[in-house]
Amino acid sequence: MADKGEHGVNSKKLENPTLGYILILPAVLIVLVIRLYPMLYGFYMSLTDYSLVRPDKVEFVGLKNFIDLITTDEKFYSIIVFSLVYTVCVVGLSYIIGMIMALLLNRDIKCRGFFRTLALIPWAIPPVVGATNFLWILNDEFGIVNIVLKSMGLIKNSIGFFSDMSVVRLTVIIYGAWKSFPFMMIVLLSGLQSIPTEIYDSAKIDGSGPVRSFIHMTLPFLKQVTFISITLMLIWTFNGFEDIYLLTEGGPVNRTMVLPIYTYYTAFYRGNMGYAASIAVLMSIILLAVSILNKKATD
Amino acid sequence: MNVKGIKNKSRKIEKAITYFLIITTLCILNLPILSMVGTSLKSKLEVLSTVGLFPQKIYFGNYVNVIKGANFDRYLWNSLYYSLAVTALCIIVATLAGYAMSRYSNYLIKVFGILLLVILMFPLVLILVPLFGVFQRLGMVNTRGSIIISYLAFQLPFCIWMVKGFFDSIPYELEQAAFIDGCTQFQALCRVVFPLSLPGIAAVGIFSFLRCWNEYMMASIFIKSAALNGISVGLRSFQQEFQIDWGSVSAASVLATIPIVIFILTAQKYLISGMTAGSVKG
Amino acid sequence: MLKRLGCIFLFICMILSMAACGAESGKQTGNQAVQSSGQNAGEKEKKTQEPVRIVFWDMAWGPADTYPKVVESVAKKFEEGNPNVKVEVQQIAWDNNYQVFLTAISSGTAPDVATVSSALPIQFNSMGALTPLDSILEEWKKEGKYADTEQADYDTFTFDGKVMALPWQLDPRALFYRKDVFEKAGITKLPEDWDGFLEALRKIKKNTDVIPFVSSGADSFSHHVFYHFQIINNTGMVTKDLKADMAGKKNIEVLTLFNTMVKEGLVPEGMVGYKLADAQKLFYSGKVAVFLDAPRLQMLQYPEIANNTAVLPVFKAPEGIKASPGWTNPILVFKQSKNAEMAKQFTKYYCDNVLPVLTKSGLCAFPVKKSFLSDPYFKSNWLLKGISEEVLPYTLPGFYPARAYYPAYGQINGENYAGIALQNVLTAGGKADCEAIAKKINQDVENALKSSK
Repeated sequence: MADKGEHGVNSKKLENPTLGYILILPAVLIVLVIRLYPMLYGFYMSLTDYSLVRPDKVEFVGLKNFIDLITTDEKFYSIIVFSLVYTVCVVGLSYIIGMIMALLLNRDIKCRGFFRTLALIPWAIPPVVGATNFLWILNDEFGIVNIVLKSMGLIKNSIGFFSDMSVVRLTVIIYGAWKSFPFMMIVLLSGLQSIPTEIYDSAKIDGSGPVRSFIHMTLPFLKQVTFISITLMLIWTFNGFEDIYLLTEGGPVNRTMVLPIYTYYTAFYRGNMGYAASIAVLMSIILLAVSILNKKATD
Repeated sequence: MNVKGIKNKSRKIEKAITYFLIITTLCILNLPILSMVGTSLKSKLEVLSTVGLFPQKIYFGNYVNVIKGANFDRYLWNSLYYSLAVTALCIIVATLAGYAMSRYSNYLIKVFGILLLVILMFPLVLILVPLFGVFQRLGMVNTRGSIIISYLAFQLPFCIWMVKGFFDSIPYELEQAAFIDGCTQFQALCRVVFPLSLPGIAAVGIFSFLRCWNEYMMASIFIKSAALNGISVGLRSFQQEFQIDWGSVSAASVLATIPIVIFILTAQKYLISGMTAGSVKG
Repeated sequence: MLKRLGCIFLFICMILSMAACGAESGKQTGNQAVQSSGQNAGEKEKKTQEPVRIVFWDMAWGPADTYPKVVESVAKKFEEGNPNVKVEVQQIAWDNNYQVFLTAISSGTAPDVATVSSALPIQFNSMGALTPLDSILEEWKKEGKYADTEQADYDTFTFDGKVMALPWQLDPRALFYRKDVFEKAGITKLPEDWDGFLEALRKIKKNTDVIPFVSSGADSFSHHVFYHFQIINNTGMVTKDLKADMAGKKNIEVLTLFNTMVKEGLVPEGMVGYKLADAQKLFYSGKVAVFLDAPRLQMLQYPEIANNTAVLPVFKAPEGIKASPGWTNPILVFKQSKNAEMAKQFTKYYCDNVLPVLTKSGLCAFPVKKSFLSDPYFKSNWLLKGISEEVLPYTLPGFYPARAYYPAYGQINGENYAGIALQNVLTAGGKADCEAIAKKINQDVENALKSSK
């Protein structure tokens, strides 16, 4: 039973694909009409010196943007490293929190629906409001977190969640995980729900403990769901502009600068769309590589 | 009798621990939300002049201000409209496509699957201008249709992959059994596969709904008339260059969260074990 | 049961969305309608047949409940005088506004007239998107109104010798201080230069338990904090002839000033993480003695603040000038406008009749026309009176010592180089190497200037 995922793979061999084409047609139409052209246009832009300032004089420059980016852009490397660290940490952390919440809320308890809803609310509130309240509760002078920690005697001086250069990266990671765990939770929860209860019953008869049965029964079952949710979360986090921008705008002193913000600055404040597009293409390539790695890892 | 008592007791303790864990984690995770609710109940003065989470005196003026103010009910209705329409369409289209991707594996379909991921990877900020161009050519700028279709196009890649993942974990034998009973492939999808993957579909639905609800970037660019704006744009009307009416924004956010809570409460009921509902049991 | 419910739900949603696509696709923006009608008929013919539509995008400068009504009433009055014209006012949200304008311009759906934040006209001008407004100045000269506005305010938006936008309001920055705290700290004389300012902050630190000075350190308001002290010290990001000047002696002095404040604990440790809203929260809860912000009417609503706060008179640096930053905000006409003449007339009318927007809309801004300043409103409370008397006579634009906005300004300002300079000092715990910081930022400024050519 545990190799359910394999079943799916084996069963993918239906001879007549016509029905398949028909089923997939609406999706193809919508996605390709709306999104393919803009994306191809983005790729094209990366090979030009397209500038917002002179949109009428666009020249094809080949790989110049990419070469500049890799050879001369000093900021690029430090930003890329933090972007990757940020992404991996946020995805990992949100997966762990999401898994814990999913396991807890998968149990047969009262008011389950109510609790599940509460756990999803961080996702539901408008990002501006969420970020501002996050800033307020973590403020060093009046934030409730510092006040509570101080009154409990755990710390002496306030923690500068947004001002201490060694803490601020951790803060944005925690914020990112806080924003993303509801997604992980809901996906894992639905994955957990598709596991037939019999396998746990048989595990109980075998006498294996909860940890063992989690590792040997639950996790393999969630393989598919895990792969997809982690891939999607990687993409969103790596491309996510809003979360960090609303908290720190990439500061202090570019300490929390990530590629999407850098792309945004390049595209709009410098008006250099071509260069920005080449960053975006490079980001897509990195993401593709990470996704393939992730695929290998889950297999 | 004695053994049973001990078992009961340990089960009770286990339950108590579960509840305790759930409630404490939820409290911590919802601290910013508590802060938001607290702010919404503070008077304009108190929002910026007090530092506690909750107001010293509960004040409903922000809510009155928001409800009486310009267009709030309209924003709410528009958001509901967009989110529900996109979610429904998304579920239908993604189910069809996800099924095809899960059950038919040929070259073209595989390429489409990878293309979906690549499309997801290209950041939105850079494609806004060409995207706007597409809608202009379709004559859809400033229409509800532009919002619904663009949201749909942005949710679909994710939804298709999610749904495909859930379909992959449903054994093909079940469909074969349905074929023996005389079902066509399409009927098998509707009667066997879809019901079995309801938890997954519910997750996708909740998710798509939430993402539509708070989307701001596209909405702010495609829609220029207040009558068509949703809540995400409506919230910004409380915002000036360097000054935000936090009390009203928080109150509006709280009000805007209510429909979401109702939606999740309804949708999460489908997050029950699909397998027990289906025919695998026994 | 669940299944059935789900089906019904899906069905309803489908119907809804179908209806949406069908019903709304007929509607078009005012904009597009203007364009297509402009293409069809000659201007003159059309004037007699159907009303000319002017689309006016106005930033959400003031509170949603009071501000839009006043702007609309001005537009209504213009319509009364020009019965053939219909002005459509649309409030534009601040978040994302730059992209909203960019997409509109590059897709040919820009409005006829717009008010925008002050750094944008230079960007739009580089794109070739604006119509020169010199003819309005000519008319003002004839009407004798030209000199009512300072020449410097016209210069702000004069690019390549042409006036591309007109100032309609002045948005000053100021230092506000708590009179009661100053008294408690034993400060008898208000500071006259920045050594005196430091001295005052030190006394507050020593004699009271409030935070001596705070403002934003994290968001884009942080560059206003830096610009403020730059101008006091008679310097800026670039020189008068647009060369990078961050590494100059005077800028290092500004950085050193902030370093001293950090070292002596005159600003809170967390300031680098504060957005303006956090700083406001500290000030309005009475924890701060001196606060840098734009004047806001909400200050009058907090009894404790309103009764004890005053505008700190402008002071100067030892070798500086008595000056304070003030930003003139522009109104402009897009080249795409099919009714450019009417759009210009409306722009002129708006500038001439903007007084109610400044006095009755809940917006706290000041006129660029000197004659408006004699309106009793601007003396009606301590805040407005203080700003009008103590600050306005000394305002200089934030890009000083340049004369006008310059092409690289968008990047220098947008990427917050001044704010980052400040952040570098604020995070160094009083041990900042000001020269190295100045050099680093100077490099960024130089790059920006180079790439904008």
